[in-house]
Amino acid sequence: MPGSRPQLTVVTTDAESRIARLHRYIARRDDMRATFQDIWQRLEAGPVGAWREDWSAAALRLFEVNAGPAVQMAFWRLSLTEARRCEAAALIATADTAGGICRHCGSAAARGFLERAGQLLAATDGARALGPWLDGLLDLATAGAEPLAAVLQRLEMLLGTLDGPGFRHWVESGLAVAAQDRAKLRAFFALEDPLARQLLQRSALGDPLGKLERSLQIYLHALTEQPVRIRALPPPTADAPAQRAAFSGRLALLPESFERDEGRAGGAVYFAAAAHIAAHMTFTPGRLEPGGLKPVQLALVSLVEDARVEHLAMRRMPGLRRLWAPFHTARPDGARTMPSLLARLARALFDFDHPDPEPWVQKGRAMLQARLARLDDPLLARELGNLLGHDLGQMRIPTIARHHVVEPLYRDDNSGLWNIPPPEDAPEVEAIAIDTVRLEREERPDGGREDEPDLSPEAGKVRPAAAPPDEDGMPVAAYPEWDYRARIERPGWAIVRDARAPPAPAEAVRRAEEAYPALTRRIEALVRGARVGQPFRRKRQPDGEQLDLDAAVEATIAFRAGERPDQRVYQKVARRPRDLSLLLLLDGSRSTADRAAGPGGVTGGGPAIVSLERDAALVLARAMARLDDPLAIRSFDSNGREKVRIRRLKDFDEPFDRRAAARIAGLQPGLSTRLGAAIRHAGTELARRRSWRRLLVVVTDGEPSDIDQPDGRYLAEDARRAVHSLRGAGIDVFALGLDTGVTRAGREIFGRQHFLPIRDVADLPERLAMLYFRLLAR
Amino acid sequence: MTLDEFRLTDEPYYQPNGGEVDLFTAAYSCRLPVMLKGPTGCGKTRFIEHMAWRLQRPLITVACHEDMTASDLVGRYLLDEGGTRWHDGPLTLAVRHGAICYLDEIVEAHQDTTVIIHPLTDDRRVLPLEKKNELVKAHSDFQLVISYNPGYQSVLKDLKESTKQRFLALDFGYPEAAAEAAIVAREGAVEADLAGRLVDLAGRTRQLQGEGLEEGASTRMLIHTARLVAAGVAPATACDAAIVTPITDDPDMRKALHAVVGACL
Repeated sequence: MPGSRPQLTVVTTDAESRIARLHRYIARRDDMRATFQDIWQRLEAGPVGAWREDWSAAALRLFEVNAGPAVQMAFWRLSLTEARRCEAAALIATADTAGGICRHCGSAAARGFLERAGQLLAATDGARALGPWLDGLLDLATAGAEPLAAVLQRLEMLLGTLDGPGFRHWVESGLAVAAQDRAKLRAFFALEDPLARQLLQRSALGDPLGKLERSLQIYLHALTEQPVRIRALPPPTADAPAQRAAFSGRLALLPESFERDEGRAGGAVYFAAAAHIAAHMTFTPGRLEPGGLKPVQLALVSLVEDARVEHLAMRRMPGLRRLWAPFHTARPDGARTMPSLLARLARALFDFDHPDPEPWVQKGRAMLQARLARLDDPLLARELGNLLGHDLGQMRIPTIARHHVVEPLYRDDNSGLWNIPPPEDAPEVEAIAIDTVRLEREERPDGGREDEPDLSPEAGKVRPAAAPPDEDGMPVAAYPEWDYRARIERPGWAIVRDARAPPAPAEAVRRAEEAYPALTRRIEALVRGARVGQPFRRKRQPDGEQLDLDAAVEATIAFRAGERPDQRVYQKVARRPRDLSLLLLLDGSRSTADRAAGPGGVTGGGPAIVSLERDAALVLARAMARLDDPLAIRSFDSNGREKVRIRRLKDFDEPFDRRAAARIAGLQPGLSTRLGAAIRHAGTELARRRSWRRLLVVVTDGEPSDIDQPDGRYLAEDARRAVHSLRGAGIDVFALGLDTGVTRAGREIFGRQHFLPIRDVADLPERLAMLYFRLLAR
Repeated sequence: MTLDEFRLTDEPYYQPNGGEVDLFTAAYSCRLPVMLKGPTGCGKTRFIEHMAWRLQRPLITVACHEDMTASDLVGRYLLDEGGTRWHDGPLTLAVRHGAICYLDEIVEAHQDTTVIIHPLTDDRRVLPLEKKNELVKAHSDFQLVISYNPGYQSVLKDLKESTKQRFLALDFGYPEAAAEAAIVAREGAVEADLAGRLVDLAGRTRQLQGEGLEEGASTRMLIHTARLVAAGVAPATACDAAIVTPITDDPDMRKALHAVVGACL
């Protein structure tokens, strides 16, 4: 009976069992009673019997959202068919998702979902794998019933193509691309929009290059015995969909995905492409001069060169044959077109035993075999290529297009072989090694920090109460600045002010807190793992699992000598408590109002950088609060050297509660970036902490700048000096850079090892949290 | 006491890699303390065993660890029915009776142990037993040898300058490719071809410090791999078990090394 409302709302009293409540509730519903009794008996006899309390609670929750009998019965039927095969948690999460869908799109949509949920439960293994699918569908429900229905119709295909996170990502991309436009939404999720299909394919591949990038970089380093950088090629265009790898000097350029499927088996195509590039880097001596060579001649010389370097590489690393061979699939029975002949020649030159009836191919192979002794002669390629090109000219086969696509799939596009203008230099490859130098705690006999020199002479305090508070805040300290041209420190140059941090409304806080469910779950697992510290042995303990031999001997001696023995004769392994204070310094300058790139690289399509900073700070604060590690969060901006404003979003000794969260969520973009003064101030605060490890993590999106300083290098040099002085005082400084443009400056200021460039700003919350956990592990 | 149980009866195989045998022999003739430097698994311990055998001296090896204190080295009072009885530690044993004492990875041990050895390493050649109130004069055959791996030392764990300067140092590296292949082939009982490929593989992993691999595959690892292969394990599986998996826990690194193994074999 659609639209019928329950007569009574459920009154919750804790003493009552959910099962009883559900039964009482159903007893009043004439429309459901008979069906329910029948189903309940069968459910109770099955696996649901073991968790009927939870099951009843889920059913009651469906009533609470006015889901109506049809939805309720759909859930029961689903339980009957699926309970045997799936986890309790998966089934209950499905019911709750139906409730959520019902809330957004009405009960018809919820019923539609439950009727297809069987597929979902069957295709995913357990609640963990199911989670992202349900999250994605719920996100979709917020956009309306229509896109949800479109996706549910294609659920089977999507289940076959994507994994959970891939689905979630695809849905998020679609919602972001279509924004609020209904027509666009419908077109996207009905897969009528070509972008939807493209993004689907990319999600399906699961960003293969991203997952393999570091492995490939290591692989290339090992194969070429020199460091190699990797960069992703820009996505292919519609008129040139097939992409090949490329290289330039010691830079390997790899496509984000290969158009054929070979890449899915453990990324073999990427390793094959990397190994081929490594062979060039090792054995191709330098770029060749194209001179007056025609495209077909260029292709032939390149092809012979490919074969030459591969044979040389296989002499040293015979396993490469197994890697490359599966990609040579050219068959001798194809048409005599130029691309097919080239692919066949490539195969024949790679595999001397492969039969090919074509005389031209046989001749090419015979010529290479005859010259195997001088394989390391770089002129071989041009010699053979010219001979083969001449013969090909006689065969009157239509010539190839200028941009012919090299086969097999793993080979590079040959652009690195010829002296044609190289691609512009790549952004540096992301890598961070957290190497920190610090003193062993045991080497500090006093163990304390108070009598250590402060960061002085830098920390000259200004009379704190001298100036009246104004909108720029009360001046709290003055710091020197380093003038790199004059090579002097200008004393008391930058005035730091303690400015007010306005809180955000509660709604914004709540939204930010719910933003990262997957990351939050992952962090919870890490938190559990990080609770324990490093083990170390304590001797002379009153209790423990082993005897401390020296203490035991002494005690016995004392006993026999008639003295009172010391009873602390045990030793035990204790966990060294983690003892670390972290100060997070957020760049609150105007540029953080810029929007991050949206899905598909749409400029400015994503959220503002400042909002990602807020989210990242909230995620980190929550994780650290659960570990009881002291955390302070500061944001800074500046307006000339006398107004460096520091906002205290959270203090070390303050619990992470609603008020602190509201201040973090209230972070707004301000003015300029006087980084050095902010770092010095953060250092002064950290220096007062008595923790063993003191960490400063700076999040910044641009080079330092300020209105009174036209020379960009001045503030960067000053910041670098500030970082050095903090390190000298035993404070570790790390930075995350939010824009590729800041990478070079960031590395100069913080040092390559301590600067992590973040290519995709949306990753900031995750990267910041992971940085913290990596630091914890050391 | 003759320390017979510490004498080596069979010649431990060692492939000289330069003048280290002659240099050590000369150092022993003057009883100078020696420090062996070099990465894990490059043959430091094997070398000292070989030298002990060659010089016909007993060898007392102590593997130093974090919990080791000075009394573990010099000895302590133990109890029996009659009262307390002094029990010599391995170092004291070597000093009294004339053995070569080899302290493996000395930096791992507690700081106080390194100070204990100071009087043994200059021309005093004595070991004070503080608890026993005894000054042990070193036997004329006694020599102290320590090993030290500079690769994974940090400021936290480094030898004090005052300790370092007392020792003559022999620098060990991995042998040249051909020599290393010969060692792997002999010790692992595999063909020269496979040994050569394993050495090539190891050379590639030793390049990867900059990528986050602390130490590359050692000669010892290659010998383990070769032995597995000789025992009938497929080479790629043996490499995974004896090289890739022990060397790193980083999944990206593992994947890369696995691919490098695939390429090299």
